[in-house]
Amino acid sequence: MAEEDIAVEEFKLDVPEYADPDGPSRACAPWHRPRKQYVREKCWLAPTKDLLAGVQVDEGLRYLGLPGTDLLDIRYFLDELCTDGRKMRFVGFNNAATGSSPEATELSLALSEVHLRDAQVDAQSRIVSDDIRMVGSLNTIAHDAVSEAAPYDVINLDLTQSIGADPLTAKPSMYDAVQNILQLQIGRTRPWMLLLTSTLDQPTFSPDSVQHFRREFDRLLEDCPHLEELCADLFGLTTDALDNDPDGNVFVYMAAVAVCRWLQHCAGRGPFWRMNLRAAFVYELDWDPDAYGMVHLSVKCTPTYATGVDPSGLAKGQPVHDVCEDAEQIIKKLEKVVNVDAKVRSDEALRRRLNSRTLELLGPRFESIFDDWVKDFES
Amino acid sequence: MPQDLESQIRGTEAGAQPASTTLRTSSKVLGRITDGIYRRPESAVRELVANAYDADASWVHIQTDRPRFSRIVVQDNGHGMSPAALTHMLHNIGGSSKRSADGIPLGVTNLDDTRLSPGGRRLIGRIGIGLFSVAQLAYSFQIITKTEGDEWQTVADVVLRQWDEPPPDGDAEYEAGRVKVWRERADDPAAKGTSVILTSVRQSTVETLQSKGIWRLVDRGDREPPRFHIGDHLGDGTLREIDGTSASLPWQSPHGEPDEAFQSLVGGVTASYAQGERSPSLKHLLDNYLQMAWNLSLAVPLTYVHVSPFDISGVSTLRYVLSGGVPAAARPLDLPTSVPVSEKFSWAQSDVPTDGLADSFRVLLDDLELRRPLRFEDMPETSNAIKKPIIFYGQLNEDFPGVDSARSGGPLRFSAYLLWAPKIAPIDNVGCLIRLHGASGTGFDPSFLGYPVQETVKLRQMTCEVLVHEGLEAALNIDRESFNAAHPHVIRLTSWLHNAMTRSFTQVKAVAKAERATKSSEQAEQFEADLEAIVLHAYEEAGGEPEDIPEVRLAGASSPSAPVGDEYVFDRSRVLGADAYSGSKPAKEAERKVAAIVQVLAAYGLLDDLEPEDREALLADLATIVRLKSG
Repeated sequence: MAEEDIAVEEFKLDVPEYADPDGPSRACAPWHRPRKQYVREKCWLAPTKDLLAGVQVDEGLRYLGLPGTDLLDIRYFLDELCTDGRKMRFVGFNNAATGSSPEATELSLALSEVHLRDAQVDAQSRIVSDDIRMVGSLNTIAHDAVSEAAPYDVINLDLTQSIGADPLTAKPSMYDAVQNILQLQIGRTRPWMLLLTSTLDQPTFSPDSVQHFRREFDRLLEDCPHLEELCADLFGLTTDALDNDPDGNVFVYMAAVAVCRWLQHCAGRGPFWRMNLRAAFVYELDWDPDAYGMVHLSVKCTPTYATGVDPSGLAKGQPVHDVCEDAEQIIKKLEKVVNVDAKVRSDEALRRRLNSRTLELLGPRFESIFDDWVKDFES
Repeated sequence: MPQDLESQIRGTEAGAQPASTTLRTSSKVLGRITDGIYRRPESAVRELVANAYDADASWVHIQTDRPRFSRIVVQDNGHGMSPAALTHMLHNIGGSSKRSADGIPLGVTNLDDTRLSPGGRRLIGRIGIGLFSVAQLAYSFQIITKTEGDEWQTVADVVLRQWDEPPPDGDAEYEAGRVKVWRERADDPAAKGTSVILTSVRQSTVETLQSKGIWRLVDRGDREPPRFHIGDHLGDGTLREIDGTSASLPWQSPHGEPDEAFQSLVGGVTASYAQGERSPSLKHLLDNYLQMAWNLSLAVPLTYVHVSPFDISGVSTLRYVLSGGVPAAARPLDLPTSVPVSEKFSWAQSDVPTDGLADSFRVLLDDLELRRPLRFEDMPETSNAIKKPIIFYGQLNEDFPGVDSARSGGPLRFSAYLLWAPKIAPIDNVGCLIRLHGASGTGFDPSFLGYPVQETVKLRQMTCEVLVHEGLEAALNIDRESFNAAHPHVIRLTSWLHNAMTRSFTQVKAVAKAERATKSSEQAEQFEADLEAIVLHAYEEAGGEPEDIPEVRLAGASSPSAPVGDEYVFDRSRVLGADAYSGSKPAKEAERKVAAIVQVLAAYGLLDDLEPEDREALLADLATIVRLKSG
């Protein structure tokens, strides 16, 4: 940098105008709806509790997620999983909160409160202000932040859009980020949870990623031919149906299976873990009970210690497990997918309880706005 | 006005709009700040840590998004500030309620002793500009603070006025910033603490913490990258790749515990000498961020990274006590080597108070749990004759008898240690560091308060801390980074230190002389043993016995020339020539070698067939060869 450039560096930053600060501004968000709390309880917490049963509390809980500025998900896991001496070390990504915006103030309040729970929260926990896609590049703050706390007990990819939204040429991309995150799980000896929230309806995918995931699905059927009939029987999922009903649930099921297969293989030659789908929940698309949009998958990943192949054949190595078994379990579990909207809509008592719990997690400062906001939502 | 503001703040609990106010200070205080008394980022951070300590916090977390540094948070679990205390602070920058009766109702001062925190710690902060120090770092900041039992927390959003116009002269009030304050319901009424969040960090601060100056020099080829660094942020969250990685950190990641990480940092810096860094300095070894961590850890009241200097054993160090008046010599510590000095003298204690609060005061800077980065054992090895560090303990209890306390400044009490070692690593630890109640803003003074004696080498081998328990505070300048040299306490301390240093250096020289003498004697013994072994070997080879080895004597003018028994006698002058009577070490060694040669030749029976004259001529030639020097 030239000397004259250095002189003007000071003024490159957005220097706040000398005026009264913004002050508070608070609003509720989609993740405050009762259906999301239902997902937290049934799809996220229950399998994670099972995972941690029998794990010593001093092993802690390492959590990677995409929390909102209220850190609601983190508060929830702290309340439910870290009351017995277990400490959580979390790494969260939130790129909405910068400077002294109301969102940043909200995040500061939440972080301040969470860190004061020092018996539950590891002091090295942090929120990174980058897009999680940046994890896809090795020499980045985002990648360093994730790798410093890896491997994780829970990886919660709670996306607001589709995991297939990025064009395949995007850089950085969600695909690279997920691959790098999962590569950091290699070598972990205990099982871990992969929680994925993503829209899986076709319009939310980029055109080239649609083709990619369809090829991924085709490869699965090539490897495991018996699953073709199973998919057809359970979901009506055939090549013909995919070609003729691109916007329907057939694609959602296909995408769910293909994404799981990709998640099992993308970390490199292995696969390094067995996948067991513990829960599958969906939101309706445009309030149509027969059309699925957002899908929540809760996958238990169990390390396999798979070793590479000795080309000379001298060493036997660990046998690679049968990935078709995993895929079959996933497909059968998807058949029992829970429509969260329908569930919550039909049970007023449940809805009231979920709302009450959400408000409890949000804390008293949401009391004045929450009830008025949430009454518009049946799920 | 303050009452009104407090009421307005509390009014926001019922839904009123946030209270708006201005940050006010006197021009005098502002002038001091704009003079740049907090020149380095760590100075301002240090003040926030000091505030946390004074608030009886058991931990402080300094969280940055390094190496971006767009956001810096300093959070503690101290008492927090009530709306009244926050109001007082906002309107009285530079006029702290600490150390005054005003602080009692505000919950910042001890009920019984205004020098203490509510929990009984000796207060570090004094002048109330600690929080304002963030003006050097940021354009805007937030405070989130909560007291225990309060169902509400208080939030203050501050935008600082930039230095767009000179402040008025004199004592006039100056508007230094605009503030919005409001109350928020708290998640947990039992929680307490304060967070200071720098929301718009100044570009100059960012550049400093990112070590941009260093990286520019690296780019120009004017220096190597620091041995340890957090990486060079190129913008947009990406980092420069150096040798296949983005950062070079001495601690293991992932899963490095913060205390272990800091030990690794200290170990990495100390070990750099053994790894070829002949003059290891922080500015070469560390980037600015890690230097900040190091300097901060020296400045705040923390325990030592390993053992306290008052708890080290005599196994790895030589220990002396400085007692009695000048010119009394330093006395060896009269204790078994396994017993630390702290068990013998009540004054020889670490200065971190043991009131149950300071013991648990932890400061975390991102991945590092800071401790005093000073090691007293396992010092770098050198070729110096003295292999162990030498530590001197001393104390002063000065009541200035007969002098009015208004003139003397009252009593002055401190304990101290001076540590001499052949190599102090890093060299930044050379000097004298003065602590008040565990804290120090001065850092190491390499001049040792202007030590007047020419001891160029020895001064580079000395590090010391003076731990002040009472007094000296009035001599501390406003920036807490320097002292008023004319204050009686500074004068007395300086005098004590210089005397202590003189006595210490005298003792070091005595130890060095003794070590050299011992070494010389040991070397002579070894030399003799080696020669005897050669001769013995010759007799064994030749089938002789040790008893057969004859005596050899080089006779002088006054000694008999006739052999006694089977001894060999030669004329000293003829054999040794000019060195016959020099008495020098080389001459003595040459004489001994010649005698050994005679014994070896005798073992093989090569002497007895020669005429005495020829024998002497042969030996004279051999002695000449032995004494021959190249060049």
